[in-house]
Amino acid sequence: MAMIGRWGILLWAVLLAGPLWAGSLTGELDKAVGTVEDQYVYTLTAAGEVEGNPVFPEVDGLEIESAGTSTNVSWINGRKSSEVAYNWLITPTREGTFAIPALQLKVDGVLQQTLPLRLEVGKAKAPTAGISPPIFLEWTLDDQNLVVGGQTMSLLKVFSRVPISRAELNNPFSDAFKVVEFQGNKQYRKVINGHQYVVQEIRRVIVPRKPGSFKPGPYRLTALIPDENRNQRRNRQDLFRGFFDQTPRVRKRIVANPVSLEVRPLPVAGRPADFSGLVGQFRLEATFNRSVLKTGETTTLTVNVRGRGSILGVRPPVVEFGDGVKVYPDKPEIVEEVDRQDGIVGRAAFRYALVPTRAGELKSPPVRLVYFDPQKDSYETLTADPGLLSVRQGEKVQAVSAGGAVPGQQEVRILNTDLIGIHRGDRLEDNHRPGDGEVRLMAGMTGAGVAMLLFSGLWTVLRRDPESGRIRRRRGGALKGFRRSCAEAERSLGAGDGAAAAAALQDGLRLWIGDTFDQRGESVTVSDVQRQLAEKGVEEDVRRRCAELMSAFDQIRYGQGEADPEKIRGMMADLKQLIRELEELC
Amino acid sequence: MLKWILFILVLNGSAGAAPAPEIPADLDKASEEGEGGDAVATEALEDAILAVRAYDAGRFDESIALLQKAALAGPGRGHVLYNLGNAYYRAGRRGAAVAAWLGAAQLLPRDPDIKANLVMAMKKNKDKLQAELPLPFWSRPFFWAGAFNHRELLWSAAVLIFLACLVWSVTLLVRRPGLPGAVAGGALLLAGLFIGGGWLARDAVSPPFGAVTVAETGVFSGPGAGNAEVFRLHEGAPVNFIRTNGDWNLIGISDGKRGWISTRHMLVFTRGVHPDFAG
Repeated sequence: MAMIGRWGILLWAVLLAGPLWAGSLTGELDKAVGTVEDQYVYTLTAAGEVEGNPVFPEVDGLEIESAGTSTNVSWINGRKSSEVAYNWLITPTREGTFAIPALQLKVDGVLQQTLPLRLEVGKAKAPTAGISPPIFLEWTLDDQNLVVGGQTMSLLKVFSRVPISRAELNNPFSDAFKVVEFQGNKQYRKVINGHQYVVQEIRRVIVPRKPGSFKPGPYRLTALIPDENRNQRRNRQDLFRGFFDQTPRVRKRIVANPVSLEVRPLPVAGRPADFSGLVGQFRLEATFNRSVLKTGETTTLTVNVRGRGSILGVRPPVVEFGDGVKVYPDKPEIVEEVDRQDGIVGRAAFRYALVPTRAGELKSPPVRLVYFDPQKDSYETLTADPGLLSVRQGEKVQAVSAGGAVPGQQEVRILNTDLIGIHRGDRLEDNHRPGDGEVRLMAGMTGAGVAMLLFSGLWTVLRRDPESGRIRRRRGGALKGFRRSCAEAERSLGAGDGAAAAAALQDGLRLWIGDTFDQRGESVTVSDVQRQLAEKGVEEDVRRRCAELMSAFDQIRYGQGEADPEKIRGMMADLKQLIRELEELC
Repeated sequence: MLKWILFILVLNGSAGAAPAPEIPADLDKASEEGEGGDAVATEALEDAILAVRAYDAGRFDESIALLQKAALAGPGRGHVLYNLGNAYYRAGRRGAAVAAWLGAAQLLPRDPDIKANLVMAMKKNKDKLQAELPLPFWSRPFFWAGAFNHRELLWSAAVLIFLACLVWSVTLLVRRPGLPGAVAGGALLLAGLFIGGGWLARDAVSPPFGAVTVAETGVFSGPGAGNAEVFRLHEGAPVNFIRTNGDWNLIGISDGKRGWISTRHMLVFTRGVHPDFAG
């Protein structure tokens, strides 16, 4: 029993000690009471192995910003212990008492949470009589009653009699305003209540985009400044203050005085149709770069608009010369600058290339520009007369209009897309598909052609005499038979048999004549040949040569002497030439 | 196949009973009625003229109804289809307009107005597709055929073949046939056959295209919504009509994809498909 009691106590001790080893999570504020000018630091410390990242809950009236994490790992008696500290900067945007809820985090596998904290934020300390604040802001607007498109200069002065660092300034203006930064802000010194302040000016030009009552901002400057309370304590303790500039600093947020702004819409009554959209005070000039020229030549009309006010988005003035001058607008040059006194100063140059197409004194209506003047609270119209264009007849008008590059020519701009109009009139009757009747006509036409061809072929076959066909075929084979005879004669000559060669050639001639004139070739005599050739109108000379060759072949063929092969070759050449001539003649 | 038969019949001169090509089955009745067909054609023309007036007065729905009627009665009237496309577009039915203009382009392939409107309308398409397909290898020699309609091609082929027969007949009938006549006749015949080949290949060179008429639709792997949806198309997307199966059309698109789309979600003006004017 005693044994059971001892083991029970040990088990109880182990169970009790478990949660103690599970780590811890604590949250603390660097100070729980302060003013809206102060910045507070919340530190969440987790002792043990951390899983995940803590999330700081949103609290109305407080701006939370993460300020980093630090980790500390140590070994004590062979045992590892780690500690992670998460920091957040808390900036109150108003006075009040704020409850910071519990933060949760898993430490050593156990979900732990901090205790909720309370933060009391009081009013900013009123400047004590005779004691000037170390830093303060002064915000003014040149004009707090504007029209849409008008402008006012916002001037923020930062007064500081202590060194400041890591300063951050917000932009208090919403999208309802166009904000143009002024480059070249001034910095100077000024003595207030016996204290010397450094004054930094921050100028911005504000152009309202829409009407309404606005309370922009306010401006908030957040910066590190010396902690005067601690400095006073240190002054008493540390004689070497300032030697190494180890001044303790505190993060402060300084809020400027609020301002308000009334923005009116541009009046509709009295607004001309050609209102350019400009608001301010402007001047207008229009000049030609040359006013005497010939037709087809180019002059440039430059229209300059300049003045106080935003000029971006200005509508180009209309330049009209009528039919006598072609007008080619160029891309305008628009520049805006910010002046210390006048705010936004704009200038725009609109250029138009003008090409007169007829001679004479040409005049444009004066160039007009309508703008709204907030000082006069009315629409103002500016006119500028560029003068007359004196145009003489040019020499190359035709060349320019016929396709020469017209100065100032530009790509055709697509202004809109729309349908090409519908088709009307007789076209609606057109049928683009062949109908049945058409197909029949086409088929009939093609069939008629084929039938005509068949008929022609049949007619040709039927009208042909069968005998004439035989004669034509025989005649067609005549030359082939003669060539065979020539080949046989060559072989005989090669074998040294001149008589056989002569016989072959003579037979070849007879066959050719027989086939050509539809006779029995073997029985053709010299007189037959003469007669046939005479009937065909062959010349006497050719007939004589033919008769001579046939007689010569007879002599060799039936003679007693040896036939000279060379002589026979010569006769064969003569015979071929003769047959060639007869082929052409017959 | 019908074309081959028709072309052979035309060549043999016995195509009197052959049906006209590319006429929707329902519309054939109008042209087969003889005298009645003429009356229908006259009425179609009147509808087309009334539709122009309604269009001018801004009554686009009325213009559409009249033009649909005219298009049904006179399916070969390219200008009527063009006007129907314009009326659809003005009534806010861009997909149907694209389909009508694509149908008109088949009949009037060189009309610049149709091209301009098609380009303008198809620039607004969500799907980057063209109303053309890659040419099959065998049809590449006939690439030019897309610039002519069926009527022009068929007439050209018939006239050239007739002239070839004429030249050869004359050559045979003269006492001494010569080579120039034979060559001239052969050249004419070859030209006629080549143009006839272009007519046969025209659907491959310039296939019939319709367009999607609903804001978005699915294209399925088979004819039915129970099949897998293979891709989606949006209004105005040009689709090549291949064949139909019940309420579903097999289509192809210019990037090579194919699938089945509900006939209620597209419109095509071509042979064998009744234009679904409800689209």
